[in-house]
Amino acid sequence: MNLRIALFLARRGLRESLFSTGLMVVAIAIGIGFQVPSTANLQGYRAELLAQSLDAGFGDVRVRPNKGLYLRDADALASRLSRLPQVTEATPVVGAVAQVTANGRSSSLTLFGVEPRARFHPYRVVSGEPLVDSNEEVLIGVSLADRLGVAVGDRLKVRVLLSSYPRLVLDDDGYGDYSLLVRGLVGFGASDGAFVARSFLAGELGDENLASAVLIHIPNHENASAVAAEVVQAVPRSVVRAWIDDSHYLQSSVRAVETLAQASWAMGILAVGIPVLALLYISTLHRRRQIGLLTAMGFSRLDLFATFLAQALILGLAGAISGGALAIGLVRYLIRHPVFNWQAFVIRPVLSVRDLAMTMSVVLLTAVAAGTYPAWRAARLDPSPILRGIE
Amino acid sequence: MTSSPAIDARGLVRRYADRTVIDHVSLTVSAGESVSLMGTSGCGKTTLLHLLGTLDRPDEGQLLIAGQDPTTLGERKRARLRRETLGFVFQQSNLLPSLSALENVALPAWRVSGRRAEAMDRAAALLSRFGLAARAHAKAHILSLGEAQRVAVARALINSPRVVLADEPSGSLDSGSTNAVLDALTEVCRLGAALLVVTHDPGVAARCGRQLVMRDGRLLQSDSASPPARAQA
Repeated sequence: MNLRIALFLARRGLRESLFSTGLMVVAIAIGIGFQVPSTANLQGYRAELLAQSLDAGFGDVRVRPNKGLYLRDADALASRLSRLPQVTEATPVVGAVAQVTANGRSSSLTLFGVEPRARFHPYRVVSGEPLVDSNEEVLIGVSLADRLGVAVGDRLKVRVLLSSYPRLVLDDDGYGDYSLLVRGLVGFGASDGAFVARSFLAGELGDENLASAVLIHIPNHENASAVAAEVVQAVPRSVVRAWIDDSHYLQSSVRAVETLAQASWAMGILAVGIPVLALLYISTLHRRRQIGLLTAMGFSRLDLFATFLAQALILGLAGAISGGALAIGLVRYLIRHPVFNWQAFVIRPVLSVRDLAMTMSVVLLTAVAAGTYPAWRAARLDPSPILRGIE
Repeated sequence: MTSSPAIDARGLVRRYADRTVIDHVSLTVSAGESVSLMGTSGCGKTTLLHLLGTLDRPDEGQLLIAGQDPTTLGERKRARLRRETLGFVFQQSNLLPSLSALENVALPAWRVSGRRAEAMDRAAALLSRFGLAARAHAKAHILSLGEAQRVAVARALINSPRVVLADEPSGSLDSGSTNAVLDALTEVCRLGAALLVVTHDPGVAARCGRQLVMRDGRLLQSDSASPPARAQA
């Protein structure tokens, strides 16, 4: 077998029918060109879902009290946890049942006290200003603001249940009333919530060191369970849960997106493989006379197999390169024009060079694999009936 | 000491389903000899040519091509026997349409030697000898039938085969082109190869040193006693 001859004959064979060759290259290019951005969008959705729910949510690992509503001495605990390996930040948050009222409308919710100076907060500000250490200001969710008819700069009446014990609710000091300035609006997962400085809320609850939970952030969300196991060792008397065990909705959503991405990948492979297989097979049938002539010239079955497989290789390469360029162009466009952008939840395609190279390689291999059967058929054709013109 | 015949077939039988297409055919063709094979359509001429060209396998009988028994060889060795020992010329659609005349001729030599440039030089020389130098770079599909057949003959000769098998090489040609193709084919014998031509044309048969006739899968004239005859110039 001579590979140079196989490639030469393959190239010439493809040029013989530019239309079907073009169709095959386009099929492969479209397969890559659309599959890659589609999967990149799903990866972007997954990344944004995790970022919104964990980075701009309640952390990768949550530490809560084993008994009662609050962790005591939460600052020291957060400081200790932030020194654990892989931990980017551990920040305490405190929550209290509250009622917010404006324009004659009210809503019940959990008011959260957060650390304004922390790197991660359980929200993303979509308008107005970030929170500062103040007992005068509040951030509220976009949906809540809409229901109450308030905007940035307006004031809210906030009534907070300060007692840990229901029997004390009716006591005079069982709740606190405050008039707070809306400093900013927060979106997506926090769009029904309200947030104040932790020092203010914890102070009102009677202990500035109080926290309902310590939220731990790590760079790689996939490692949450391993980090949670280390945190358990560090704080054995607390309830420690990784997001995977604590947020079933998020876990199911991430799995669903991953399944969709795999399905999209498989569809892309099929979308490339089937047309290439069909067109190469038709091309093989169309060129039976040439196969007979090559056999008469002394080309072996291996020579013929290599020639037809080389066709698939050339098609795969041309399609993969064109498809890669198309995919990069589409991904760049989708980065500038996201398919989803609502309340700071933005889906931007996530594409690495490694992912693109892997997709192109897999599609190239699929094209070659799809060419294997036609090549095998070409190699197995009986030359005698073909050359006699009876087949 | 004499060399083995280029073709030595004894008692060849080829059946398709319940029909015997080649019925105990024996045939010997020596180096430098030209033999024509005539007969009605469907009498088995082309099937015999394909058996001798190792494109098909006999159900019975013995066959030696240049001293080698192709029936005992594997597929790769039979392919090698075809490219090094045999040359084929068919009636039509002989050339690969995506290749030029030069590339068509060079291809078998490139496959044998693995050296493209050398094969192209030899092909160019052959085309020149057959008066086709000006058409060397023309694509096969724009050549006239006569030119295409002469290119096919040149291709059959490029590896200096010991046997050339031609199946109706002038079947669709006018008389001028037929003469040119026959001149090219008789050149084969001058170069020392055996030539077997299947034809319906008595004029073509007359140009060969020996004429055989087939009917219903059998050779009407016994062949084994025939002395080798040189091609007529």
